[in-house]
Amino acid sequence: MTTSPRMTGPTLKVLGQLMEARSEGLSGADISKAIGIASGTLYPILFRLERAGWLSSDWEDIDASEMGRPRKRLYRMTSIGALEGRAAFNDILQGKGGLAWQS
Amino acid sequence: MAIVKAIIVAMIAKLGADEAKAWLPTMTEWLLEIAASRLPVSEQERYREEWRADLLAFPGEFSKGIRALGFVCAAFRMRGMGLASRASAFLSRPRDLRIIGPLVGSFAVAIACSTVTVRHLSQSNSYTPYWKAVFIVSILLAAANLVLAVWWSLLTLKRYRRSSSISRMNVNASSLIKPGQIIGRRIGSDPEDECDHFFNCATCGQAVDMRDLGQVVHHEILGHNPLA
Repeated sequence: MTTSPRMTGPTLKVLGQLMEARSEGLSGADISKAIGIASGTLYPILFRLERAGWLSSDWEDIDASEMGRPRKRLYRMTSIGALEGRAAFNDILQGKGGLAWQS
Repeated sequence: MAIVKAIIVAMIAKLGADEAKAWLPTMTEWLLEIAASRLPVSEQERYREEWRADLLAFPGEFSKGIRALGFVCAAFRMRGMGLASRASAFLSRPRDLRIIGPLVGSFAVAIACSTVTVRHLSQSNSYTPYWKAVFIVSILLAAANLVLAVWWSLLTLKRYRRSSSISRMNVNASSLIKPGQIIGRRIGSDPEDECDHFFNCATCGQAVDMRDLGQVVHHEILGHNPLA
């Protein structure tokens, strides 16, 4: 069972960044650098979003021993995440009643 | 003499800095291990590798150390989420309302005060005026604390119920949408009077142009100030 993650400012920033990246995966460090968020805040958000099924993550497609560095974990938005994320943004943008901005 | 002192201080500072710099990678690795070991066993290997790769994206040893410290905080929070997700879901509403903290605090104060006083009285058997005063003051303090906690919680609950969905979210929405950034138009025909596009904010009294999303969002925030 997935529950909707709590929408906080940093969560929205992370979602926005991942929506922008579309199918290209972003590592935690990439997201951190792009939106200026600390690791202590970022990884719990990614963990929560992944548990909720909004994100999926895969290892970078490289041979770690050949490259001589650990593989990055790349996060991508799932289709559910994209829908829910968009809904969350719309919820903010609609504001009170959402009358004037729908057209 | 002052020059000699300055030279000695500079040398010690330099030695200290060199030592700290030499120890930083070890400290970073140590913090990363602590962080990974806080996670469930099934997740440890994944995050160990992910966080090692993450650290490589940052050049400075100091920034790596800070980031590794963040991993420790993250690991504690992630472990909490994993173990108590149901409890957290149950508690999320009261926690947002900030009810639990003051209530638990006041009860703790009440219990601590009464326990200390009663214990002293039962052991020493000296019900002196001093201890009588301490007992009365502690009980009064605890009662006042409890009343304040209940009052504040009810006030918060009232404000929460009145607040809109935007202000309930833990996000500064006005920082996302600036006034003048998104201008909408009324659905259907425009009103005959321009004044109908405006309402007066109940909090700050300022006239709000409903076509400007930034203005509307700003006036939804609890305790906001009038826009310049």
